[in-house]
Amino acid sequence: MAEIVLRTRDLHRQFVLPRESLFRRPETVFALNGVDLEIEAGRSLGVVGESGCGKSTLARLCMALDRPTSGGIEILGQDLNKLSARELRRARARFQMVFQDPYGSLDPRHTVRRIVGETLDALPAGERAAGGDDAVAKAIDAVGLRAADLDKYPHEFSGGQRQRIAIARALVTRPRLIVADEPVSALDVSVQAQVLNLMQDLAQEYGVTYMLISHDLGVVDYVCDQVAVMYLGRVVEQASRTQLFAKPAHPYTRALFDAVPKIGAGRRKRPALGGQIGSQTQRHGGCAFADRCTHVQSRCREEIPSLRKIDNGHMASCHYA
Amino acid sequence: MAQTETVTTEASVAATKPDFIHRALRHRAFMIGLVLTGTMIFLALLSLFWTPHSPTEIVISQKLKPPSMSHWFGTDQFGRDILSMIMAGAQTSIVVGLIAVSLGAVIGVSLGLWAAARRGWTEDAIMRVSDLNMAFPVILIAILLTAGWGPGITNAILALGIYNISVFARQVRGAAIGMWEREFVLAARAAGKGDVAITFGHVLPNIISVIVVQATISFAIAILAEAALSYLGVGSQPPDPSWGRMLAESQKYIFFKPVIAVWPGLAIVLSVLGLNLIGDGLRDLVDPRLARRR
Repeated sequence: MAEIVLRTRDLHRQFVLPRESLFRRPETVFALNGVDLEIEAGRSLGVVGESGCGKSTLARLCMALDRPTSGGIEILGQDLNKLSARELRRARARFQMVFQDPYGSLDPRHTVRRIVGETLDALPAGERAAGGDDAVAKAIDAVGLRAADLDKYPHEFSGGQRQRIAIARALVTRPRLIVADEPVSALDVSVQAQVLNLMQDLAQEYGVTYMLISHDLGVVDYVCDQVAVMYLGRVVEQASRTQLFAKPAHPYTRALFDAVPKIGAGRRKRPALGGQIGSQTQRHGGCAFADRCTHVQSRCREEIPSLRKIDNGHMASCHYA
Repeated sequence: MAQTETVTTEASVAATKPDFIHRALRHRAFMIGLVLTGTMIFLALLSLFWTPHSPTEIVISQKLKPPSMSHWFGTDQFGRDILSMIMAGAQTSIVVGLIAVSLGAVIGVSLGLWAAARRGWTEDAIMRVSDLNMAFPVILIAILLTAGWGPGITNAILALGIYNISVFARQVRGAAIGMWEREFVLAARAAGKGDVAITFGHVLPNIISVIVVQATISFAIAILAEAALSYLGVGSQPPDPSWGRMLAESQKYIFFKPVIAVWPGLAIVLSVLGLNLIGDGLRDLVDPRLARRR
């Protein structure tokens, strides 16, 4: 059994919206409604789903940038809730993040050296890896930039290069887990492949496992070993990449695959997903996907389907999967 | 996407140093402001060592003389040389402006940064107190202080400083909150940086231009307010030279010697205009979006 780098247990996160009226209770957004995930070392997990399904909330919780309403997160066996502020600072070296927007995630007033070194800098004194500057130079080299780039500012680089800098920053403390929230969606398609290749190479070289959040199934297919599909704050299907792509079980997953435009598909009419994404401010009595599902039965509206095993290593939360 | 990329790169490049100077030189209003303010500062510095006549020496035989070779701007009702008084008055204006703005900036910026970093009730408390402070006009604060400790330049400076605290706190809080929402701050938090480190490492350096612009504009307002306070008699006291008091004293002669009132009036107008032009110019020059259009 491989080591578990990340485990979430029944993760819930609710946001209370600002009060609209003095006499009405403020509304609550149910962003995550019980997420259980496990990432084994070396088996990168892709999290897919449409916008608003809680992907980014999940990423923020896993990075301890936000606290769950209930439930727990363990990283390399350490429960994040139980760490003191000081211990958490130290633990952060083990899990890092790459953000979506390579323009917004690099401080325009810092040099590359300072940006990449920031994570080392933030470690408690004495914990700092010996030869911090050396580590920065190595990380920059590992992502394919030159040492001469260290004293440049972010605006001197292209989008792809900036994302390389962001990856170097995440890499510099030698983390075991990197959470990447839509790491290539802001990049040109031609550059996307370069960045994804780099991420794959680094996974091998540095022993990093990714949790890659994306709405693009192609990106997930390229980098990940495991895939989790999220819908309205829940994981509706989870399987290895090969299983999921060969035999998607949940109707929502199938709808996602159908929605991917294919070359050569001609004018074939794709069955677009009907209906609106369900409300996030209401709890659902039955399956959250029931209103949009083409195979909906009366049972779906009454009973919440649990995430159950339908095949070896393949889980889905549908009564009829 | 490729298009957005080049645009952003251009905009950021425009903010680098040699280019900044180049654009500043082409910004006409900014350059006029620089010349006006430069002249004022030069006159104030010069008056420390030399003035054509003593700004305080009373020569009754020379009173109310029109401009001449020996008295370029003429003399006032006590026979004092107006040019010398204007030069020495610039000192007062600059000292008041500098101290009042620094006082307001140091305390106001700290409070604004604190409010933005903490949010919640700390922010509410700071901002409500600041609202309360803003509800009292500078003149009223100065009169209150004068009632307590007697008239004097120190009270005028204090009144302006106190008022400026709120001005800076508001401005900085707004700009800092914007920075806190940026992704690079989130990245710094993910790196394990604390609120203090983020405030000084990421937030402050990125809003420094906002503070500089506010400081120039506040400086102009302080000069105007010092003149107003001195005019009312709660600012600088005789015999210290002050543009505001010169204006007040010339009032009696406005109908038969109007030129005496013109000089201090002109000095106030030009220095305030100069600082405002610099403030507006800086705002244009540090804004990369405006930079592209120019």
